[in-house]
Amino acid sequence: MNRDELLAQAMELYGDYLVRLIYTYVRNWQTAEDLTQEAFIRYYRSLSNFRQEASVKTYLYRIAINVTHDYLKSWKHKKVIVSELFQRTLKTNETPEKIIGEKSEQQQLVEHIEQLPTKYKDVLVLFYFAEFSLQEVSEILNVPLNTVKTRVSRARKMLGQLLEEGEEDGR
Amino acid sequence: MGDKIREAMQEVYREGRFSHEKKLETKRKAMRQERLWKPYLFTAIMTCAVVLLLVFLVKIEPIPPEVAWSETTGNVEKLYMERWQQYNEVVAADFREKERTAYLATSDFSLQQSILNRHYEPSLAQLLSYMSYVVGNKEYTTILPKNMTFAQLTAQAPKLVQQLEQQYGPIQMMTFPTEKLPNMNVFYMDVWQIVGSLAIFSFFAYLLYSNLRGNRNYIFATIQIAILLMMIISMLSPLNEQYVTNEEELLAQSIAPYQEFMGEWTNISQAKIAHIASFGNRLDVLVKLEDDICVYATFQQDDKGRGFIYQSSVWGRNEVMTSAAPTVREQDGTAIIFAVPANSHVKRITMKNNATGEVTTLDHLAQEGGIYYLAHPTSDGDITINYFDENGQLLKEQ
Repeated sequence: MNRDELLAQAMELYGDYLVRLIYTYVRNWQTAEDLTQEAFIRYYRSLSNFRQEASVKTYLYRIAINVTHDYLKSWKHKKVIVSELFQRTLKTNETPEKIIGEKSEQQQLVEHIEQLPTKYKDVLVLFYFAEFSLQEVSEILNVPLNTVKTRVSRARKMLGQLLEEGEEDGR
Repeated sequence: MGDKIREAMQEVYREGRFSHEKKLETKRKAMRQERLWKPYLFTAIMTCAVVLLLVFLVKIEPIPPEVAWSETTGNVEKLYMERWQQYNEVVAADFREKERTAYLATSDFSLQQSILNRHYEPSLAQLLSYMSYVVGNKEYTTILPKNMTFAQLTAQAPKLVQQLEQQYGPIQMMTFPTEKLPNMNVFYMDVWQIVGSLAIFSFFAYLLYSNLRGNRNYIFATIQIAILLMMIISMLSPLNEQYVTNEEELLAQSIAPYQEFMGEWTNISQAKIAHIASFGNRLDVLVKLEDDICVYATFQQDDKGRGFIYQSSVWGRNEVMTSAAPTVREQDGTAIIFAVPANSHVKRITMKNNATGEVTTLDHLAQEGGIYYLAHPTSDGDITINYFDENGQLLKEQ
C-alpha cells in the first residue's frame, strides 16, 4: 500500500474516533476536526519513519494526543478561552448548576470528564473510551505504567466526587 | 464504571464525525505540504552551496603582487651586515645608552620586508626583531657571534632564532599580511567564537522553528527573527575600516588626504614611498611627491592581522615632520618620530627636558633621509627639540 492509500485507510478507520477524542479536550467540533486533520497530516509526513513496531492505532492516537497538547498550550487556545469566558459572562443569566441539572446523566458524566485536568483526562479517555490497555496508554503518553495506574485510579475518584457534587447540586 | 464512561461518551459524541470533505481536504493538504518541503530543501541546499562557493572564492583570491620600494631595499646583504655590525657595536660598548638609542632610532621593517619578499632565509628577518628586542631591554645583554659573513649568518639564523626564542619567548614580527584577508567579521573569529555564535544562532533558529510549528506566537517570532538577522548581519557585515595590506594601498592611503586637500587636479603621478618604518605597533611612511613635497603618514597595526589602519598624515617641503609615538622601550617616557626627507640640512636632533635638563641626541642622520625614533626617559615637563646642521649650527627650535 502506498502512503496515500495508508492515509485514506487511517482516516476511514480512526477519523471519527480521533475527532471525538480531541473534542473531549477542546470542546468545539470545528477545532476538533481541524486538529484531527493536523494529526493525519503529521501521520502522513511521518509514514516514512513509521517502523510498524507500534500499531497504526497506537501511533495515530499518540500523534493526536501530542497535537492536542500542543494546541492546549498555544496562545490561540488561550485566546479562545478568554473570549468564551467573556461572552459567557455577558450572555447568560442561568447558573451552571441549573444548566447541568437539566442535562441527562450521560451528558453530565461526559461534561465532568471534560472538566478533568488534562493528565487525568488523557488516561481516562485512552483507557475507557479508546479501549487501550494500561501498557498501551503508558506507551502513548510516554509515562511509566505505574503512573498510568495511579492516574486512572485518581481520575476515577475525582470523577466520582464530581458526580456526587453534581447530584447534590441537582437536588 | 468503564462501560458507563464508554457508553456515555459514545452517546454524547454521536454527532462527532470526520467529514468526507475534511478527509479530501486533509489529503490535499498533506500532499501539498509534502511538495512544499522540496523547494525549501532545494533553496536551503542552494544557499549553502552559494555561501560555500563565496567563501572559497574569497579565500583563493590571489596574493597581491610583491612590490619592493627600491630606495630602501637596496642591497639586502649589505644593509643586513651594516645592521649586524651596528648590533655588535652596541655589544662592544657594553650596551651603553648612547649606542642603544642610536640602534633603536631606526627600524628594520623595510629590511625585514625585503628579506621576506626576496625569499631570503625568513629567520634572518626574525633575528632582527630579537636584536631590537634585546637592545630595547636594559636587563638583556645577548652577545651574538661576531665576524660572520652573510652566508654564515643565513646558515646559522634558524638556530640563533631558536635559541633566542627559548630565552625570551616568541616575538611577533611586524609585516604586511601575506594574503589579503576578507573584509568580514566572521573570518576573524576564533574557533570557539564561531562555535559559540553557531550554537546561539542554532538555538534561536530552533526556538523560531518550534514557535512556528507549534504555538505561533508572532511577537516572539518577530523577536527571534530580529535576533537571527542581527546575528547574521553582525557576522557577515563588511568592516568599516579600510585596511592597508601592501605597498600600493599604503601609498594610496598616505597621499589621499593631501590629494583631497589640494584638489583633484593635483599631480601625484610622481608619488613614491621613500621610507617605511615600524616602531611598536605603528607603521610610519614617508612619501615623496614632485617638487620636493613629502607626505608623512602614520598607520596602526590591526590586532587581528588584517593589515594597517590609517591614522594621520602631514606634509611639507624639505622639512622634518614629527609625530608623537608609542614608546618602544619600557624606560622610555616621551617618544617622538622624526620623518626626515632626503637632502635635509638637519643632521642632528636633540630632545631636552626643560625641567630636568636631560638631553637625548640623534645624530648622523643619513643623506637619503629616513624615519627615526627618539625617546626621552621622562614624560613630565616641557620638551624642547633642537635641529642642527652638519656644522652643529642650530637650525630650528621647537
